[in-house]
Amino acid sequence: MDFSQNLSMEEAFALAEAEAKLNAALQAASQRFNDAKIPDRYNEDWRFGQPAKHAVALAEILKTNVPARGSISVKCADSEVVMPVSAEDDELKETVNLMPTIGSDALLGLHIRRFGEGICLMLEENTEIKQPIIITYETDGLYTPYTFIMAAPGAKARIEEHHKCADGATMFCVRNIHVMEGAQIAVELHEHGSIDSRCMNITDIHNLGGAVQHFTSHAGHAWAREETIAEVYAASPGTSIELYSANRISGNSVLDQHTHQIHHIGGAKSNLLYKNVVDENGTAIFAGNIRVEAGAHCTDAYQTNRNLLLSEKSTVHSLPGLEILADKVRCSHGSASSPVDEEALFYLTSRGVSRANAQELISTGFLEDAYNKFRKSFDETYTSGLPD
Amino acid sequence: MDESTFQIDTRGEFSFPENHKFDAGFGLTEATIDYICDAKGEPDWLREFRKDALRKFNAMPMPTHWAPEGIKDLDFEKIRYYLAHGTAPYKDWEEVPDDVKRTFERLGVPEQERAFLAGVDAQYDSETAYNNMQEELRKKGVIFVNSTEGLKEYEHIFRPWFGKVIPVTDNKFSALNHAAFSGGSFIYVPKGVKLEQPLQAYFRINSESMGQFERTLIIADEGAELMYMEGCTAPKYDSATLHSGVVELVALKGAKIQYVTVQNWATNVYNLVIQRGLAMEDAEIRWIDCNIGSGLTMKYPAVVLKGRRARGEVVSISLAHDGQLQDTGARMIHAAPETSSNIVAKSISIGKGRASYRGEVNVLKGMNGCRNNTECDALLISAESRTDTYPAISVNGNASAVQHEASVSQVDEEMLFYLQQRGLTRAQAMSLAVNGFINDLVKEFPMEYSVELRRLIDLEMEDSIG
Amino acid sequence: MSLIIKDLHARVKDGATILNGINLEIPKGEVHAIMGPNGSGKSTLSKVLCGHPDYEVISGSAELDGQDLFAMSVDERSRAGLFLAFQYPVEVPGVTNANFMRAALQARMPKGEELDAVSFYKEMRSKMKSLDMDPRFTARAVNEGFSGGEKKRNDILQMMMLNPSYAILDETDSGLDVDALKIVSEGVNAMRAPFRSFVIITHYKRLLDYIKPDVVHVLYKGKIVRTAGYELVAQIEQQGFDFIKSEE
Repeated sequence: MDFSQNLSMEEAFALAEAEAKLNAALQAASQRFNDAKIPDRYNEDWRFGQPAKHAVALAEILKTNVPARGSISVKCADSEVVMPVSAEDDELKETVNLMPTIGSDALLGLHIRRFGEGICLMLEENTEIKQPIIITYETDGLYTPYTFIMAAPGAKARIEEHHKCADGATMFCVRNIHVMEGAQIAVELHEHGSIDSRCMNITDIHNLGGAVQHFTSHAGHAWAREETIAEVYAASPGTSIELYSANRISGNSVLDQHTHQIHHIGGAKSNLLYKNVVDENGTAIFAGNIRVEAGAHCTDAYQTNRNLLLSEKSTVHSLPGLEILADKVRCSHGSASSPVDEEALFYLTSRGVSRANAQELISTGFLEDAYNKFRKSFDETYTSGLPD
Repeated sequence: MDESTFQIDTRGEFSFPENHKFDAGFGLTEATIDYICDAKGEPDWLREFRKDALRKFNAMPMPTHWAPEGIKDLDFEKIRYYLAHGTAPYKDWEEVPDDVKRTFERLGVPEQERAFLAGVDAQYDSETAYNNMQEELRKKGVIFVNSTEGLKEYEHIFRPWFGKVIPVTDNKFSALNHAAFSGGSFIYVPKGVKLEQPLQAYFRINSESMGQFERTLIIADEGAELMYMEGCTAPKYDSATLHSGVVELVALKGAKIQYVTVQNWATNVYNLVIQRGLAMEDAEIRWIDCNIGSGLTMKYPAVVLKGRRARGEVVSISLAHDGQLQDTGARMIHAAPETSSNIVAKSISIGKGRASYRGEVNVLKGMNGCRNNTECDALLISAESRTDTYPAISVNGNASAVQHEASVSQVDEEMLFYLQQRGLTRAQAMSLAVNGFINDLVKEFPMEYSVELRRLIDLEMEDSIG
Repeated sequence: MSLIIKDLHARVKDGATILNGINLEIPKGEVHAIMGPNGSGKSTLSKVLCGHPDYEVISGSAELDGQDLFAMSVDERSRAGLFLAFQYPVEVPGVTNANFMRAALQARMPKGEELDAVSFYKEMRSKMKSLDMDPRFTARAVNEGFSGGEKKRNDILQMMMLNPSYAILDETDSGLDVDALKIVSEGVNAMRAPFRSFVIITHYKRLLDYIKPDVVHVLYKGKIVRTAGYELVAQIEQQGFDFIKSEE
């Protein structure tokens, strides 16, 4: 405790209490990593995800002492807001310790052991950065960066994150996005994989009264797992979380996506739209959950998963979940998996397009729809601002 | 409590004193199984079969991917695995206290069943009705007996299908049932025979069929059609009870089976039932299921669509009150091309009740032209009630379409105001709205069941709001 | 015997005050019209009288045949004889019109008495006929998928079935074509009786051409600013509500 600042008795107590709470949380966190088991077939959050194969393989490399092999580049109009992650930054490390996962505590624990790579963005209060901030991580070996984004009240920014893996490379990124009251943040993540490349992302979106739009796209990885946890802790008018995803899965690729939309407090809105086009021997897994906690009344939460299956060998597992413990909630989810609509194919081919091209056109449009909705929503809040 | 008196509480639960001739005691061991086999006079192969199932039961873990947390509280050591009255009941309907009779009337329980439930002469008048019906069925070649008799008298039909739809190792509770089963029905309907009257469980209910581990096997031969109805209100046992039945249906080519359940066990009953049907080419299986009672229900009627163009349907209503978890749902396994299935589930959570939908739809590799449509709607009555939806949908290949929609809603305040403005009390308005919510599904139940269902809902609403 | 409202102030729950001291007396047997521009509080008044949960009474009283209206719940008010034909009748999925009316009538019967189903249906059918409604509507869910006009007609049917002593018609004319308006008005006129009164809330003269009111009130900014005979309707038709605003 710092007594140099002439704190009143109450303030000192409050500070001490907050510190004790944090310490308890950190202790619980380290206990969590000690207790956690590498995901196995009894781990419900890895259902259909073949943990014995993928989680174990990832854990194996993380446990080795292979040094980080990766590069970071950042494009930002305001260089003040960008800071590289430093291995010595204990305060920042704590933020990772406290992050939730979806069944992958053990893997997060292994990630923390390699803490020291990545980018911190500190977006200042009531400041808008007009040009998109572009972060690129690249690796040809094993890379485990941490992206920390703090959007102070009223901050506005658009962030693009690109992850690029060379053949056989592995990238495991942990992303922590804090959005304060009145902030407006759009984050898009594009995964660019190669032959036999693997990636995993654990993303936590902490919304304290702002608006956040999040988009992910995947192409090319042999195996990819996304855990996205979006939580509303405080709500003011216009508080919302939107999650979008558009992915193309082909070859023998597996994309394993997990989302949680958690409303700790009422009066906010969350929406999710995840779309997959699955071709060849590809497998798409979507497991989403909306949780409206007790007392989080007047919540609107929606979740939609749409899958197009292009080949007779394609596979989709869709697990859209709801857990509603509050009243006055508007909540729904939908999941649909089907081949390309024959009527649409017929219509396009009747105009002279080949069947293959027609299928390609339709699936591209199917995915673009998700990206367009993300951009449209962002442009709208960005230009009109949040309601007062 | 005096042995001869009845206990009744406001929600229409009631109990009668236990007086069993056969009681295998608590816990399940090889000795328990020997006791059951001796009491039932079973052949050696069955004794061995049960013991093998017991070993498997002991070795298997509790389900994780497919189970609510409440299952952890279940203590297998505190369960009695075999109870049978064995003696004729001793009361007249006239002796039954008036308040019990009134409860039955309020519930609209059919008369034969009232008498049975009150512990009055298990055979009652139903013996005659049963015999008349038996005679008519016999003429058509229909077999309708309890499972013990079925295994004894019709081993050649029963045994080939026994444990084929739901294998011993399907899950821990399946192994449990294979080890400890008693009671339940065995039904065989021959080729082309279409039964117009539904077969009702209560016609042949005797003390044994109340057994907590009933085993039912229904075989509809090619082109046969039948509807089977089971359950209704059941007595409250003095101790927490595990009800873990296994129901297997086999619909051969072109056959149709409808299985109707209205479950209203007392709230100290764990209701863990495995129901699965096998639908062959052009066959149809429909589960029409309503769960109102029991403290923890885990029940997911399934159809394995094994033949081309087979159809499966689950219509499910559940109502969860304070202290209840209704974990219900459906499973559709598309194991043949051009098969179609439909799931409609509606749940109502009242007070601190919790209703969950758990489902599986699986279109296996190479099965083209399959269709599934799933709709789950949940209604929350109070700020403390809870609802969950946990579907798992797997689709292989590019020639099938699967669709799932779920929604959560509350009773609209404007609607309640409108109904109240016309003079209905808040409880009446609420009960009307709730009945409206499930109206399209209630229509699927046979008349007397749907009447009982509506009355049960009215009672629940009166108690929670009135 | 009458409906007496004294110095009624009411607001949206935790929100703006809408009624600023209403005084009204509706004696039995009379038809009163309440007119006024948009937002003057006409619909709020009807909802407050019926006990809508979105509104709260700040002060003032309302008596229905000597009973304290505000001490009663929504349904008690209804059973005491107060009926509201809604501006926007609510859809009640899965509940049939017949079942709804049976339940509402049953609620009015002394304990232990059962409504006679046969005469109930007979009565309902004949009233539907008088309103030119398809008899199959008995088996349809209340207002579900009904057109605006059908909903209004259904509300009038309910009024005929429940036989209230005070009926408030809240903009019943909106959404009705001329033919429907005529049918509905005939229905109301047929119900006029010395033991029943009507409060007709409307913007327009149209409905009042068919149902001629004994007394006309003008509501403006949450207060009754003018009370007169039928001639007031003509004045409003010619001058609009501007003459009231200009008097402010």
